[in-house]
Amino acid sequence: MSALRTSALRAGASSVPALRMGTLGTVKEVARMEFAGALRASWLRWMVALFAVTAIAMSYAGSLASGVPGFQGFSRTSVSLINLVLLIVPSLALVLGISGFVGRPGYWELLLAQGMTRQAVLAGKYIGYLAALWLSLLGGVSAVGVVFALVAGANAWSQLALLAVEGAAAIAAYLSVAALVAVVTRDQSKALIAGVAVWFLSVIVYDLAVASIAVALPAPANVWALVGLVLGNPADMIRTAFFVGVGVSDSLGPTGAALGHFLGSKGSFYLLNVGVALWSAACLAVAMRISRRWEF
Amino acid sequence: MAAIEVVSLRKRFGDVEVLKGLDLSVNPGEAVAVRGANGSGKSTLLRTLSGLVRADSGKVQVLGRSPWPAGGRGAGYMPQRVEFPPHFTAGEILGFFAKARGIALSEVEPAARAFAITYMERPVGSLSGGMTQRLALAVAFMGAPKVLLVDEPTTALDDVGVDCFGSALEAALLRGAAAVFTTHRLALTAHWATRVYRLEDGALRGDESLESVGQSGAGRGVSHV
Repeated sequence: MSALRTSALRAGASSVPALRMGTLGTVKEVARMEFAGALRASWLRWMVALFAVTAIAMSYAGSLASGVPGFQGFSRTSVSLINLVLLIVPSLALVLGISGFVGRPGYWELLLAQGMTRQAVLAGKYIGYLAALWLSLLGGVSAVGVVFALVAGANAWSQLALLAVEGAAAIAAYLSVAALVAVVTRDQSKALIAGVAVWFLSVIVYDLAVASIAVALPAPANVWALVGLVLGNPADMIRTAFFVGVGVSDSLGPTGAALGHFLGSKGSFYLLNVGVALWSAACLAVAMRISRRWEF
Repeated sequence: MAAIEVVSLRKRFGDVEVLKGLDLSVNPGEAVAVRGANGSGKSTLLRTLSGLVRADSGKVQVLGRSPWPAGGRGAGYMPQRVEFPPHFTAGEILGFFAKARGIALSEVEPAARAFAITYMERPVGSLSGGMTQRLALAVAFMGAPKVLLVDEPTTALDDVGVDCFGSALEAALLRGAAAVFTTHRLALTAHWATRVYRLEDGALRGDESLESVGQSGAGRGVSHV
């Protein structure tokens, strides 16, 4: 078989004439292509390694603070790890997503000239990046789990699983934001600047603003303001859901108390995760709507 | 019936009206070359025909239907500049676009051969500009489309690539395809096109500069508009 036949078949070409792809076919093929492309890029593997190494380093650093050098178990490191996930994952999803959604010069044009719709290409790209980032997250969390099991003994597997679930939710949410930023700005450098700004506001500044408001407002208004503010930002929802999920909602202060009081820990956990899902769906839906009139 | 029909096409970007009532009709078997200064609207015209840009007003029909917004089904399009995903091989790229268009593998091989693509297993990221352009041309010509819309097809090509394009275009016209291409290469325009226009002030005009290269060299016989 010739080199052409081999590579073209590997890419999915059929040896017999086929019909043009419908919308679902387009979504599937674009997703498959973007997934494979993202996995072949080496920087994703480096990020997985960075996450694993940083997690282990955090475990060791935590033990130094307590005066007994050695590796802490996962249950004691998990709170730090969710913050690490919320630093790394949104930035990765935003950068990969924005680069991919804006796309390389001429490539979107070539896809659309095949009769693919803008929404189908956007949805395909979203699913492709989502799958690649989820797989990378799974790799990173699994590596952390193995290392923790080796150096600190197997413990807290459910917390590790919850970390993976909340990390996956963060990927979905920030990838949707990336899609929205890309279709609004339509320019690689502007979109990346906007993406960094979104990350900075959402992951760093928002928390400080929430804390300031909590201090400034009188009770009980501050409690409800806090709950509302948490629901306004995916990073806060994910962090809160993780704390509630692992049973350390006390460390959330009045927000955790209010959520626990009115919804119970299970209800709060579900509310927060449904909130993240709605956030993701809304951003993606708006992005797809805007892309319908996208001109090249 | 014309394969491409454009009547009073107008397109504005912000304050600048790029196309000001442009008319064009291309029949099967015809190749129309569009020349013009940078920014004159040549690419905008091709993008409109490909369904990438929406006309502000006027009628645009490719193979009997409006190309906006779903793209020109049955049309092969090559943008002026293409960057393919760098981690795929040239063969994988052709395979992907074949699947997108519902083209059998047996039709992919002739397109690759027509553009002398002998680097099927090489990642696209390692290809030169000319090799990438030949790949983009193969994508456009693959599957014998009835309409070809090609934006600056020879900018990065060497002599072999230019010959490949000329032969592929000639074969396409012989089987009844209609083509519109933009170019700055005057001599080659005269050789390939059945009609040549200059896009000026938002409308198509006859290209008087062809006098300077002589029309006798035209492989397909240039008709002066």
